[in-house]
Amino acid sequence: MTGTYKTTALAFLSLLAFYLIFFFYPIGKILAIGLSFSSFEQAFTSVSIRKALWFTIWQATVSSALSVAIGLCISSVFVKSNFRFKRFLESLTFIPFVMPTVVVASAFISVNELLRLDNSPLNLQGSALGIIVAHIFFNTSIVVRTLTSTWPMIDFESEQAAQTLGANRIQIFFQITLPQLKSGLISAGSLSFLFTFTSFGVILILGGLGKATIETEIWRYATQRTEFETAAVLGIIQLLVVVAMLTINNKFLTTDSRNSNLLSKARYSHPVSKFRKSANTIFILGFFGFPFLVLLERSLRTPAGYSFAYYKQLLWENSAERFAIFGARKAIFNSLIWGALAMLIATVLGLIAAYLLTNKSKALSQFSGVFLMLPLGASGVLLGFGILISLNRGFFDFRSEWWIVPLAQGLLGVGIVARLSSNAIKKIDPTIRHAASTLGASSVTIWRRIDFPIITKAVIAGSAFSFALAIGEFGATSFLVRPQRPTIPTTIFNLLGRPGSSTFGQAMALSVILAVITWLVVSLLDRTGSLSSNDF
Amino acid sequence: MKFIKLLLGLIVTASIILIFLPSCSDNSVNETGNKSKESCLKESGLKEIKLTEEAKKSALGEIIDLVVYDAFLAPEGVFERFKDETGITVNILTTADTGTMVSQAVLTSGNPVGDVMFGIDNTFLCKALNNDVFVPYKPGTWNELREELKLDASGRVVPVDYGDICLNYWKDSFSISPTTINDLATSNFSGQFVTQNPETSAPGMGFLLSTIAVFGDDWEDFWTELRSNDVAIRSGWSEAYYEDFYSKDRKIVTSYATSPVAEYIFADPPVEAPPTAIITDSCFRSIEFTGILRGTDSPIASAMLVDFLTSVYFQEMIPETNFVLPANVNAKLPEVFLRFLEDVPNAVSISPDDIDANRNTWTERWTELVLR
Repeated sequence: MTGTYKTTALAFLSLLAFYLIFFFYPIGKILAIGLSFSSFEQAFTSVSIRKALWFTIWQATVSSALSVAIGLCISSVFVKSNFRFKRFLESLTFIPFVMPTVVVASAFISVNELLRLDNSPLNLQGSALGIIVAHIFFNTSIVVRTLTSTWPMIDFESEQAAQTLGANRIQIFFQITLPQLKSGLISAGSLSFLFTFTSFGVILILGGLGKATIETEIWRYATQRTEFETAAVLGIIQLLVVVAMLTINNKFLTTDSRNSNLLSKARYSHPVSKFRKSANTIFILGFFGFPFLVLLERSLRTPAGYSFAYYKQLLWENSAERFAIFGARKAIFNSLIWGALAMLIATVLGLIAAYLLTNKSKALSQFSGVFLMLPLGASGVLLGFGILISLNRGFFDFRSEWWIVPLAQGLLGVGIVARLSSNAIKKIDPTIRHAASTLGASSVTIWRRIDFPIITKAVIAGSAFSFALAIGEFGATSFLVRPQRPTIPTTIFNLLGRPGSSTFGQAMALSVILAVITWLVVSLLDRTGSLSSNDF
Repeated sequence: MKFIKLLLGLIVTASIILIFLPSCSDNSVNETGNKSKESCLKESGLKEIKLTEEAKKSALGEIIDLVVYDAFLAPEGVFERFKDETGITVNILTTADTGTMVSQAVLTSGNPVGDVMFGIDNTFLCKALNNDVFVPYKPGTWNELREELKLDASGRVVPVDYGDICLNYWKDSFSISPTTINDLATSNFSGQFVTQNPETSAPGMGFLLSTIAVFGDDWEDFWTELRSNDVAIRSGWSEAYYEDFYSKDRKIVTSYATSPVAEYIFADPPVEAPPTAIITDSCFRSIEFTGILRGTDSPIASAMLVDFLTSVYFQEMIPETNFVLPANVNAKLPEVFLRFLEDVPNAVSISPDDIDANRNTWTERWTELVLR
């Protein structure tokens, strides 16, 4: 057993070193600016800051609760039934994550105008409702991803047993299915809470600054007003709330049912009704598909009627003089490389992290559960600024290296991969491992032959997420200083920043290309995932 | 178990040390505000960089970083030409918007991320100067640069380009076109104007500053009138321009004097003349500067880059990529600019000191008046 002890220690230390250098040290250094009694006093007596804190907490709670509820409905249909276009619909729920925030927000604004909601109570612009709807749009995909990767692993035989014994659907769902999904639900809920708690672009574009959150206030104080003290105090408050939330979550995560019957072919008890299937399809097409259709329509609409003119300009006439400055083809190439790199970092470190989360020692697993997820709940603005003032000397002088960008994106992905995979690892019956070990298998063999095939689907779900996050350039990366290399999101930004009918059309076309590339990569990963998980 | 307790102890101590270490280290952030009584444009006492022919040779083979805001696009091949001429390689480092770029420079003042900054404007200028972000250097081109743009006489920042933030409108939308800022408050143009939040958008800030420059203390009344005349506020330029203005829901928008030129260049299919025009009254003049970041390892190479950025060659290249106007009087405008750029004879301005001292008060008053 000393072997596992050593491996655990090594895994823990290497992860810790990575987090210390690229997260705790930079964020600690910037937050330290706010460590003074007067700045705390000032922050807590400010009405606007208290208002922002309250709004942030309630909108994040409501948004993530609703996302979990909607995600649960959608995934139950996916898990329990098979129908044509299921795969397609499943991948469609992923679309929100692959569209730049600017584009999603502008799609919402145009929905608002299309349905004439401007002066009605359902107005989506500048209102809390709009922010919540947009957050549900983004986060439901996290919930669906998490649940569809863990749900098939629960023990369906007990559902069938209960059915035989006369339990009705509702009883089965609440007393048998839901408790087994607990860890998946909590993971999904906490991930979407973290995303909505620190969300930035959506709030700024849809809410204006009329609806401020902690993150937009941090941005305002740190970047527009150069008042780092106030920004740092806000960052400390934000992290405290996140730590509290994660600690509470972890308490619920520790006890979990194991499924000793992974090989069971029984898959579901009650079949899904036709009505639910079609309701599900309509909802996904309407809610997730609509903003994408708006985008697609705009990318094809030219003054001379519908055509692929903007795609041609982007991909073939890119070297033509007037569009050469945007460098769209290079951008697609760069984005793919960075996304792949971030995914690699997130997957490797996330897998190591997953084993810490499932460690037998409660202290270690709970502690890891909090610290691994922290980057997702920390302010992107402050992390970016922290890296500038900390990784700047001697051996650690890499604040403006090109690889700091995929690395920061990978850092965000580690927590996601870890959470998703650990849910799957927990489902593995330890007696199988014990049996293998008694028969002389080394820990590496056990991992390769037992653990890996079982958790593949969950790992791939996490990797796909980190790829989408990275290629969409989510969070902290916009506040890092980096060498100028065009990527898809920066090129969209530059196109949208210059007047002219064709620059706008090209921006829309490039957004469609981004969505399609990510969607292709995700579906491809899914395919390999489901192929290899058939092996067990 | 013991091992884990030991580790936990180690981590806690390490994080406490890491967090408290910086508060006693030398990397202190200068407080802004205390110095606001004095002008940020006063003599700084920082030593000026001098460039000699001999020094120039020593910079051969150096690599320097040019820090720019996110919307800056380098004209194709210009820095390759600089390398051919001087043997110095230029890397471009992108940050975020101008406000973020300047804040980052203030945070790292004395130990900068790059060597030269491009694009700090007159609205953020004092934040940088109060924190000694730049070292003075007057390029060889100093006398060719427009006098009215040289806000800092000591050369800590050197004007590199300028542009006017002006109201744009669709030419075919009005039988009588708007001509002054006052028209926005009249019933003829009710529900026609969209602008940006000054705290999240540079043109939005420019327009707020125009109203303050034009109406003085009465600027709040003007905004109250605008609000009752149904002004729309968006967070950024793109939302206002492409959502409201392009759909013609709103026919007047805050943008730039050069926007109609871009409308001509990027039109598809090509057009005879721009479909939009500007109101030349009450435009706000935005001036962009370049400066050498204090603490650079390569002052000589940096100085040579500032010479290059203000040279006629570079100055003639930037209008078509960045839609700004050259600061060097000898630089000729591209042909399309000569044809379609409307002249703005009396753009308004506010001194950087006033902007720095009042920015927060103005934006807070504006938020109360317009958003609440």
